[in-house]
Amino acid sequence: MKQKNSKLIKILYGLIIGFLVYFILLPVMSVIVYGIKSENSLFFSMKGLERSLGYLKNSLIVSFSVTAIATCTGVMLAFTLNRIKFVGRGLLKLLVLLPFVNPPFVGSISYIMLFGRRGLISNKLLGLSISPYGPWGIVVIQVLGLSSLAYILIASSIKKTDTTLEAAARNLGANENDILRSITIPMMLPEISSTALLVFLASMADFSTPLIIGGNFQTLASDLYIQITGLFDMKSAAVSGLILLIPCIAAFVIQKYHLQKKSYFTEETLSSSIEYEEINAYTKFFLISFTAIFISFIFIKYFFIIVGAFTKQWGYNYTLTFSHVNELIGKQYKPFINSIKLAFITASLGSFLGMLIAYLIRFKKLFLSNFVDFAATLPAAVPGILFGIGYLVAFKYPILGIGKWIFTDIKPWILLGTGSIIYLIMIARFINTGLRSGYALLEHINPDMEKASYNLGAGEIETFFRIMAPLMKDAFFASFIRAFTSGMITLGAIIFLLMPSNKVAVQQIFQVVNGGNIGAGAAISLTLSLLTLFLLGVFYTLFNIVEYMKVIKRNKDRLNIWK
Amino acid sequence: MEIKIRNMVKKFNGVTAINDISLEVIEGEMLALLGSSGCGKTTLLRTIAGLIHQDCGEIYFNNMEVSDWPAQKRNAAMVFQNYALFPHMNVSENIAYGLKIRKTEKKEIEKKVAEVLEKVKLIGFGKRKIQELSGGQKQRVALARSLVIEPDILLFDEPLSNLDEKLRVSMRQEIRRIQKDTNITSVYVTHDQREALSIADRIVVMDSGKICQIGTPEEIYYRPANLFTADFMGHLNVFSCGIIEENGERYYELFGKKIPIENRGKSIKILLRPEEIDISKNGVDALILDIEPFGSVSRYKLKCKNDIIYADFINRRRVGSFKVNDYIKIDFDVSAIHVIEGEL
Repeated sequence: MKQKNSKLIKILYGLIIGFLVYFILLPVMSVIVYGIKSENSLFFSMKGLERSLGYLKNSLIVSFSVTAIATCTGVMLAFTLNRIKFVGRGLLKLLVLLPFVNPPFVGSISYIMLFGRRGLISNKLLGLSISPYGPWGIVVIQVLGLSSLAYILIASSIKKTDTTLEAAARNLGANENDILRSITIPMMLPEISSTALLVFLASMADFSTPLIIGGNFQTLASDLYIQITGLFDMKSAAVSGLILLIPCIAAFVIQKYHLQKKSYFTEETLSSSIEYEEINAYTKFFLISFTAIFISFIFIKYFFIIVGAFTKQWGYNYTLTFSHVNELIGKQYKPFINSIKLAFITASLGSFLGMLIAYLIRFKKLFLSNFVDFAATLPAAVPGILFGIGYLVAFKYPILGIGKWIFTDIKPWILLGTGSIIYLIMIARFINTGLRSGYALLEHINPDMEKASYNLGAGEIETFFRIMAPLMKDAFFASFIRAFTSGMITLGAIIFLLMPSNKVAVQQIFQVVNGGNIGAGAAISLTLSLLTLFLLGVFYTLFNIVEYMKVIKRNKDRLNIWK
Repeated sequence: MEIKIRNMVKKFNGVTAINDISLEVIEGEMLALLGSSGCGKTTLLRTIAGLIHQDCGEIYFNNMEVSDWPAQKRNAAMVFQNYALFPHMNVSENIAYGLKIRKTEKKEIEKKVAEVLEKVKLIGFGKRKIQELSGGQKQRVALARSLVIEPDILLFDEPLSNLDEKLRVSMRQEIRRIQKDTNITSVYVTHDQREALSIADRIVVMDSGKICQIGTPEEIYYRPANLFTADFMGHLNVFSCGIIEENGERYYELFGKKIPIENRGKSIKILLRPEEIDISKNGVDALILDIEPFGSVSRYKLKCKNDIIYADFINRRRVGSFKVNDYIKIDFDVSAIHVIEGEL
């Protein structure tokens, strides 16, 4: 039986489609159209193409290396931290997630402090003055950051390992090596490939690391930035953007439509414990040491950020100072407020919208659901900086650029130059987070639950708020936390859309680091990381308090019934 | 292969799963471990497979101690409850897995896989994906995968619990047939008493990590050694009767019948299976409180004097005419009575 949806749902759905088309598809299309079609485009001129293809080669060299190393690291971390029992594991499990709260430059800053021209190790310790700038620096920094991403993705799949299958293989005579090679790893392969593609996307999209420590070695993403801000050459930028978009969309499509369907894991095969009962002592030692070393790198990164924040001028004057921090607290706290405002509002709205879309697609079976799903997840594929350029191009003039000829005198509306545009682009990006959270949740909810509510006489809206919303609350919170964390440290998408009045903290770091002021950069990075951690703590506490109060109230109500 | 287990103990986080169990499995027999969930039967099975290592106790295969042998070495193939088929391999690859591990030649593997597919009636299914199979077919593949490595011991961990009733009956006959054909010593874990009765040569009834009774299906069913076994095997009519001494004669009395006894302990229970009760003109009066039809038989809840008694009558049309609140006369043969000691 086909269910009927009320007008309200249809109108809401229509509005959402409108939003997705206008704020996601249109900007992405603009990048493509602008790259190919603009007046005397460079795309078809050999010179322009050759230039961008050079950067593509650089991008691919970096991204392939990073993907290979970070994915392997992620696999090893996930095995060690989830399948081997050892003392201190809980702490390491937390520490490995630290890179999620640090701004993208923390690695680069520490790297410069240690290996830069006036770096601690290269200059002071070894007396070298060779340049450390180049591809390998980029690879190292990205691996340190993205291994955590790989870890968290693979860990979530390793938790679904069906240990019965390993037991079955053991029972049939396979030794532990055979089992790992023929059962465990092949079973995880779809998830591992999926992770690799997401790491690849993140690496391709990173423009700040090559910019800071790439030296002469620039990638497509960083070239985009240089072309637009440094040389004001939108045409070269458009070509680079287009070439950057192709591998990213390809990776995204493979991940979304091919790999996700292949997953072998099902919900009913959850094992109670996935830890190895017995493990070779050498293997255990190797894996734990590897993990410890990796995490100590993360630690070193933070350690030097802290040191740098309190050092007068790194490389020249190592006296202790509070001037960076003082200046921050005294004058430059505004960007932090902007950051919090931006992250909070966009994470809430994006998560809500994403979950709503997940609900409409999965439960309401409306028209165009494949299209809506594609459009809503598309921003995950498009590098942030490119998405930002899309906004730049699409909303330069009102009404999809047609306004260029019609409203010659009218000021742009919800567009470039207004504060709201950075909010819109961030919401567009975070819909994906909410959507995935929503899908994951709805898989566990039987659609009949909703029908049961209708059957008992509740209306559509009442059902949503009384039945669905309470069920979706935890998933919403998870999505919000993820989006908020990323919102505090995102730069790519908004870098071209920011104005001095709504400058955010990440941008501030980017500017001072680019200007060579390592100490101030370290101070802001440190503050931002701590602030994010603190706020996450606050949100967790608030969420738990609200839950706790509800439990108390429920218990009281229960008592009242008996009175 | 004969299996001996001596004084086995296994605890999980302080909870005792197996509490000092000793047991022998005779060569070629099918032994069922029967008990409710949490009684330790699966743990016992897994220790035989070597997938769990016991805290204390020894295991012997043909008088060779294998207590510390890893699972890989034991050649005791197991059929898992959720089949545990490898989802990234097709049917043939699943079956061939154990042979490949044993570095069997390719030709040989093909031959053996084809043979075993025939044995479990899955000819032509070799290239199928696991996801495309029905529950019963998956179970056959799991069985084939275990059989193909020519194991010394076959272990079944509730293999039929995920199948529907009809399939369960036919699969259990098939497992029985294959086990008898191959004559492989087998241990079969189940919580279903009927399954145990129909499939096993001997049954071990377990409770809280201990063995309650070991015996043939007939012994377990008709002559349970204790109340737990009796209850588990579906004994509904358990009567506590005092001993009456009259004229130097000792007997129990049940519904006016005298049951002479040998000398027994103080606390005694009398068991009478529902199907042992007859309708008889010479019997005692009983009021029908409730009738629960099962198809071929109906279970009657009767009140006889001050006792509640359950009786199963075959549903022929003449019996079907009884109604609730009717009075009937029931009788039983004294030889059908089974007496045990112990408190309920």
